[in-house]
Amino acid sequence: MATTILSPGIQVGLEDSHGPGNFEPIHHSPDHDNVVFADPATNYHGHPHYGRILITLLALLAVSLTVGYVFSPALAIVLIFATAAWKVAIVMRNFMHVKYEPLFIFIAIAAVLLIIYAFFFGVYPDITAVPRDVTFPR
Amino acid sequence: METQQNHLTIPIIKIPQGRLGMWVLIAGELVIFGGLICFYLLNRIRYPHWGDMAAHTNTFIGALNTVVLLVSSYTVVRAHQAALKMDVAKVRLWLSCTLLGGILFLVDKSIEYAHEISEGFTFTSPKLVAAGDHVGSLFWSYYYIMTGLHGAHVLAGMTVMLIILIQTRKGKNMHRVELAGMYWHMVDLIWIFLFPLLYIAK
Repeated sequence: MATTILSPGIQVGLEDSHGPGNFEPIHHSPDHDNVVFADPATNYHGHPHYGRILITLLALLAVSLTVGYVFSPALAIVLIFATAAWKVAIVMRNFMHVKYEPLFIFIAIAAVLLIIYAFFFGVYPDITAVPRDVTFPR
Repeated sequence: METQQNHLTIPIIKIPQGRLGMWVLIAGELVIFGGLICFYLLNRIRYPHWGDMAAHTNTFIGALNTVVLLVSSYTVVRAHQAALKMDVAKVRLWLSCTLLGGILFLVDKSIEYAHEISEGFTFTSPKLVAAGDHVGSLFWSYYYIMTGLHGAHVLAGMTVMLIILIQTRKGKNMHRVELAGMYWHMVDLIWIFLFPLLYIAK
């Protein structure tokens, strides 16, 4: 079994029989159905303090619920979506362990966001510039 | 800093296959929901009247569902942590808590839907259409598509979680706990954006 050192204190083993595609040491049960992760010490994912992260997320939710009562509507909308984006970043980084993932994952996510961004601004003139052909009571 | 750089340079072929596959699935799901959210936003900008329609959504239930999903994201990540330690009892406990969160979410959603429908706000909203308010009716179409599709994802996540809960009874397939967790976090992420769009921005 080859071993590679990712960072001081973290070692990741490579099981030769499974080729380079398997990054973590893998153990098999006799029925070959029980593939499990290695013990935490050899997994390249770290584990932040999840309780604190949950408290932060709940605090941000409380902020997004209260800003509407404190600030002007325009500023409140900006703050509400800023806290939503912050919450998404926290969940992705800590719960989904993106902060421990390789560059490829960052690029894949960035590509998705770029596609959505391009879609929004590509369609924006078509939807907003067309004259309204429907009426509604005011 | 050194640790971070080392993680960034891990080659793609060394990412565990299950995790990589899940990231591909998540990327696809984000494009689907991203497109829906884009169209909602564009129409929201185009029709300020949608703000009046959004005023009918129940912010309390929306906020409660956000809390439920955030807490269930926490419980599923604790299940993943327990799976790494091969602690079957804790895995089953945390997965059960996550399932309970999913059930609570769907119960809340059902209560909310029942209320909206009783007010006459349905997928087609005949009362609004009869009054000539086609734009208002369009809001409810988006509302039901976005929340309904998200609810379907919650149900799918719960089904997967239940299967894994059964499989892990004898300590089998513990690596799948992380993959189910990633899917559940994605469901949480989407709701984090749906909540302000449909419930707060009025």
